[in-house]
Amino acid sequence: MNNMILYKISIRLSLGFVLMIGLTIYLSSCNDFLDESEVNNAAGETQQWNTFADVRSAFMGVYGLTRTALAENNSHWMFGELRYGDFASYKRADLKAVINNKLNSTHKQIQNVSNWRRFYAAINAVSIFIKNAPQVVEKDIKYSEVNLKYDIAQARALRAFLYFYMARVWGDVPLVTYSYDNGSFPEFAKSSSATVLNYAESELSAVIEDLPFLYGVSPSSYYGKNDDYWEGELFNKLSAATVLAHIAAWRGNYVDVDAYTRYILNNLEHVNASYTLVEDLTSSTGLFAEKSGSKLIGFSFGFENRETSESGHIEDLTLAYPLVQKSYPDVYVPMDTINIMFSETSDLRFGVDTTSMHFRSDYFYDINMPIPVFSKIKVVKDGQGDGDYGIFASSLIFSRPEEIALLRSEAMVVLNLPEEALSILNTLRSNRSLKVLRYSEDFNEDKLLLLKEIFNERRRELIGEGWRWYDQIRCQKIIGEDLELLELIQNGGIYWPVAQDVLNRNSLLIQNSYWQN
Amino acid sequence: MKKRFHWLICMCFTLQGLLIALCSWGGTIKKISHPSLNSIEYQLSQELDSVSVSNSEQVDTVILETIILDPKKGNAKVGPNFNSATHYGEKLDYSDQPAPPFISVQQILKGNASGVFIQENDGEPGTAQNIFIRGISTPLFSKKDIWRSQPVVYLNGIPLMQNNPFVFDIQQYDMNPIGPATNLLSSIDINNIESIEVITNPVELAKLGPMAANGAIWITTKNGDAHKTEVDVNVYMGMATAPRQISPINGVYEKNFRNQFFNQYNISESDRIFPEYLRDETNPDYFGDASWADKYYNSAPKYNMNVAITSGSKRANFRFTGGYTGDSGNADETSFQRTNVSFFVNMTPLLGFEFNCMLSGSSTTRDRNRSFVDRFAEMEYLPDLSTPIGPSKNAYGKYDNFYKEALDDNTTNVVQGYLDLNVNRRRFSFGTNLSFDYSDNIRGVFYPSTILESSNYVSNYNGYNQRIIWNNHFSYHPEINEKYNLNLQLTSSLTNDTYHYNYARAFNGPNDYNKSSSSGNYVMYRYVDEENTRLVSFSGIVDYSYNNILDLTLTCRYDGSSQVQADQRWLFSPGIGATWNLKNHLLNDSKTFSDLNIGASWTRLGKMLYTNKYSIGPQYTSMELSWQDETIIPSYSGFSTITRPYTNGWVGYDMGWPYTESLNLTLKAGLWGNRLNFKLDVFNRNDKDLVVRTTVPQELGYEYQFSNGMEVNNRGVELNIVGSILSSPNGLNWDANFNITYVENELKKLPNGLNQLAMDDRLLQVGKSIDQFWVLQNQGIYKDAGEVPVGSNGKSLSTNGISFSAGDPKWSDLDGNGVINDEDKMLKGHSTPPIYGGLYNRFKYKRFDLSFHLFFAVGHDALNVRSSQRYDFMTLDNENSLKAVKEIFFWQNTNDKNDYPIYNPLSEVHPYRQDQDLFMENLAYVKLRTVSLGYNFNLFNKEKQKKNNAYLYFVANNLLTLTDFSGDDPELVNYKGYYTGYSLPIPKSFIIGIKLTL
Repeated sequence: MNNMILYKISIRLSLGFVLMIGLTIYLSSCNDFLDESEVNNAAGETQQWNTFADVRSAFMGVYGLTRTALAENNSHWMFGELRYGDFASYKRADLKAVINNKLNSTHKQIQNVSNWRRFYAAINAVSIFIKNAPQVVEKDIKYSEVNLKYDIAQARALRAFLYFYMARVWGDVPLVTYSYDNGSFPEFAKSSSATVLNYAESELSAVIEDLPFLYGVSPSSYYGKNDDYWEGELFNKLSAATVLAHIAAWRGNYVDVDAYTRYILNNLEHVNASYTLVEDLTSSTGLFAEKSGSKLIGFSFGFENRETSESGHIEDLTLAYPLVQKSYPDVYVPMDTINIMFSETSDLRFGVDTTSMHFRSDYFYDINMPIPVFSKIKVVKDGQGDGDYGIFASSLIFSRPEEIALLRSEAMVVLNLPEEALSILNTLRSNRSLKVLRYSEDFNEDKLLLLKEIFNERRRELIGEGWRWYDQIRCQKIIGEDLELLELIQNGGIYWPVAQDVLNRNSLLIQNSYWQN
Repeated sequence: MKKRFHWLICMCFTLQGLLIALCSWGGTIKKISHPSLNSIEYQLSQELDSVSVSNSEQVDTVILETIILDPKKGNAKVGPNFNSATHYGEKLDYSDQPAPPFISVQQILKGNASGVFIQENDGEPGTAQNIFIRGISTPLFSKKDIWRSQPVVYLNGIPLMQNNPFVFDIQQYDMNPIGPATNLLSSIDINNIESIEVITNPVELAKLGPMAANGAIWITTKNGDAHKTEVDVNVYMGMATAPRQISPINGVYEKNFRNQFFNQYNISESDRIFPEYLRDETNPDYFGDASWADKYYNSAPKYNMNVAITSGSKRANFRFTGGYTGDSGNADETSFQRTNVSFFVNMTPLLGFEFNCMLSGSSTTRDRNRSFVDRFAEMEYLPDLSTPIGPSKNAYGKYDNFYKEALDDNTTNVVQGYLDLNVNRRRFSFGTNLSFDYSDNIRGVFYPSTILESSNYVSNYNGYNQRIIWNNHFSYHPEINEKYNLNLQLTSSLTNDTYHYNYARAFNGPNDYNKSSSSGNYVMYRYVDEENTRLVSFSGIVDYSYNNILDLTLTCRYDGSSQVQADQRWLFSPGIGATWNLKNHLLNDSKTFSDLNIGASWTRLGKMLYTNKYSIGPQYTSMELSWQDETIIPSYSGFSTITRPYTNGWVGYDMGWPYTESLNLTLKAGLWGNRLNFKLDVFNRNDKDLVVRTTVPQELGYEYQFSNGMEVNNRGVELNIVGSILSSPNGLNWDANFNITYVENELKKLPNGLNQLAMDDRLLQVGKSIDQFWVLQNQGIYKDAGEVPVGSNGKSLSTNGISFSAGDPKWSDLDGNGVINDEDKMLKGHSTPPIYGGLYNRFKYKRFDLSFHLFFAVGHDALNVRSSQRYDFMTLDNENSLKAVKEIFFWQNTNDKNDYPIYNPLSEVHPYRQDQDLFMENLAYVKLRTVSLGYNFNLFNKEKQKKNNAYLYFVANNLLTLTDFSGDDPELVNYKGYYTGYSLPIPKSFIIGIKLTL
């Protein structure tokens, strides 16, 4: 009997012992078992900011988000091209509302466009980059100080560019220059657009020295690539100067415009930029499809990297059959407007061949259709496709030498140097096969007439590139003829309303005064 | 380095198991006289009896397996399956009748079990169907959220894996997930199911663990049997019939429909805007015959052939089954085919030592619909939608012909199995079990250029889900006293889940002959993703019973999950349950009461997140360069990018386990020898610390952040009545089973002190239900401009800067600020039914039996999006979005509601916007789901067993619907309560079948 009890006890003891040991080891290894489960499509804090590749990804992320901010919902064109512009909407009511400046209408697209979150995403990415990139210099020798200097300078320049862009669109916007990045989401009140532009200006002035003309000039390289790869892809010294010139122009400070544009035009060859031939401008494999230093500020959607997209391109709005498989374009330039814009028959962009009396229309496809298709920019797929598959690869070009030259010409007029202004204008005109104009004969020595002609040239040259609206504002600020626009300028009606969603989430924000019901 | 730990764990447990086995073995050898095995059996079955008396759902994973799989028990039929007291409607028992001719578990459960609501919102066979047990535990903003509120389904103790919703991360539209999208619960061989049980009792769920936090469905299949050698054959065939009352329309109808708007507002002919296709009235495609339906709707076959062989002896037995099942929809040539094979082996090589295993596999293929909307959503490429397909036979036939060039192959292969080792010695029992569940999903698609503006499309999806589970349990049953019964159990479990897919799609290939992207020259996009989540659980379970009067169960769990951040990943969760048997205690002599007991049970249980995303806290992703209608832009200038998840949402630290706390009170009564049984459950469940995306100020670039801290309450009552109203051995028998559930939900709390949260088209408000529609209140029409209210500031009522005028809708300005905006939208209605249930009746007369099944849902609403789209033609004609897609079957006027006000078609206030109560409709319905008639031949039967051995049956499905809802079918409403009209009809079907048992 005793044996039995002892036996039972010994079994229980040994059992307990085994269990205890088993559980201990088991528990301690369980955490490893759980730790080993990895997350695939996201990287934790410890996995980022360690290597050269991490920085490169974050750096490209800043550019990518900037591109998204401008392209999402075709914003760049909604902001700059459609509003009071030369395009008419074929039947899309939302685009009609934008064209007529009815920006408080219900359309979802308009709500999306007037939401500035995407700009702040890029701005936040810049702040995070500036905060974290320096530590990688110590962690990875592949990441050099010079590389860091270039990267930070570009990031800051991009942020300044984004603020400038936002101030142009919304006027007063919150100025956020720190990343936070800790799970707190403070509310920010608006800063005046002057403060924002001051900030942008000071940032650009601070980094312009650090920015080179070219990246990765052989024998050195920049992120493994040479300067031909980076042409027109990244912010260089002239890009920063371009933004500075435009900030100055937007504020009416034409003295600075003079300085910056002169600097840009004098240094074009340093970034391999030049004026573009009409064939190149309108070719589906030309300036808008290829890498080129002539994109002073540009964001590419390269087909070779599958960065193509359906929306985010002017083609999404303007192309139609037979260039793509779509019956009618969303927006088109009515024939009357075309005739007003291109009054000279010799114009290479759109004119009439006087011998055969045929239209010469690099800008428009089949002018005899009731709805002409605006085909200046038409990079479908890789630009060599048949138009069956409507994805587009055209770069978003913010500025190119012609644009800067015209800006300079505009400044010259304001600074009372009409002859100089005209000489720049005539250079561009002769590139487009237009006759040389004379100040006394063609303009009666009237500065305003000259200025109007400069803006007309901008209208012809830059159509489809998102300038028309801002040009009209600048023009009216100087000449003050269009009462409707002047009233808008007075009342803040030139700004976009802030999306209701943005207002709902931040109690410190109020709607732009013009759009308050 | 870390791999070694796995081996260590394995080694450790195996050693442990062996030791215990040896020890207990040694014990019995010395004491052979003890009737060891039988006593354990007896005790276990005793225990189960007592437990199951108290709670019908009480089934424990391990015990169940021991009992059911025990070769010796096959014929004895102890255990919960066969205990009449547990047969309470939550359990569907098919041990002696053929399972109904459905193809998915959801279809079987629909209307048959209290507490369970099934959404079968598409008649296309094999598509996903949602299960909600006792309400929805989380708001359903998008399809992803459905996964978080689904119960777990166990097949013989294996928790089955569902597809992971992470595929939606790369998808632009919240429509079908990429891949075959086959309902994985339609891969189970229905004929082999012995019983399905719905487990809702909190303490029983606590035994199952976090996977069961939303409830559990326990499927037990038929298994090997020591005491019979049997061949079962079940064959049926039948038809899904084409709908009879189709009234197709053509352009004339559509034009007249539109003209009534123009006429009402005296709009001159020249200002009437018609889309191109309605302008030319000589076009036969649009204005000719509208006989598309002849081609589109077709009766189609349903069939099944199933063979099962059971044989064996005491020491070893097996069951082998094989089956082939086909099902069809009645529209668009949709169909479903499934092949099943399964194999069960049970062995007892030594007394008290059992070895059981199962291997079960199925292969499912599916012919899916050819709707435009599904195709465009998958391609994420919208062609020019201004010209829809015409209703003529010719136009549709042309499309149909082009489509013959298309490929759409969907295959889902599933393999499940377990190896189960049990050692039962005297008072100890040890078991270890290795289970796996593997499914792979393959889809290959080719759309020729002829059906999409001359660009063709190829996509290939190849994904798998893989789950491996290792369970161990050790239980001890001390000998105390005759009156007391105590069972102690320790369990441990490791679960490793992997979800993986490769997906590639390509556009615009050179020609339509070579239907694969390998021919080159395609614009190609590739995607790969994998998610691996792990769960480690330990639990201690104490079951105590006193003299069949009081039963107590106590559970303690300790769960660790890779889905939760390292510092919070272990969760301790207790559970307790008690049952007081009044019958045994106080009413022993009562003739009326054959059973009366009350029980209460409470538990806390962690909830699964189904993603590791939150576990790493603040993170970077590479998916942020894309935007709303452009899902993937992979890089900038050829370099991949890493950014914060601005659009997806910030994930911070301090995110812990979401968990559920549920309380359940049960009253059960059986009257007159259990002729009539009642079961009443009152439940209250709080799902706490749920993860929700909340909105944040947008000036840091983030759209959302993820936070723990939402709390949702579901409470309600379930009543189940089972009666054998007439019962005579040779006369008429009438059994009836009625179940009804009432459930209501309430949002108790939002994270970060928020009081409300607007997300897309939904608003969550603390104190309100989470399934409400957020709509403007429509009060008719402004007959003339003078009716439009003018505010104190002299401005008349407006919306987005546009003033209302005559012919505009009258929307209530709830906040009285003179502007109609989101603030004026109110919460109204429910998208899930607060009351639902079913009634099952079975009559039996001699060898005939007749049964019918009704089910109903009451108190919920639908938003008739289809109507909104019909009336909103002025907007949709000019919109190129998925909403504007017109299907061929939109050329009919089946049950369309036509009593909406006629608003001014030129109005700019968007009069027919979807989010207004004008389009809300009561969705209450009663359906006669099944009528079946059977005859038992009693052939080949010498011993005159009662068992059916040649049973001929007819079943008719989906015969009758009673509802006020204006759409085709009140069930074809999606998870948000939107009736879009895109679903295929659920067909009426008729089958005839025979079941032979030899």
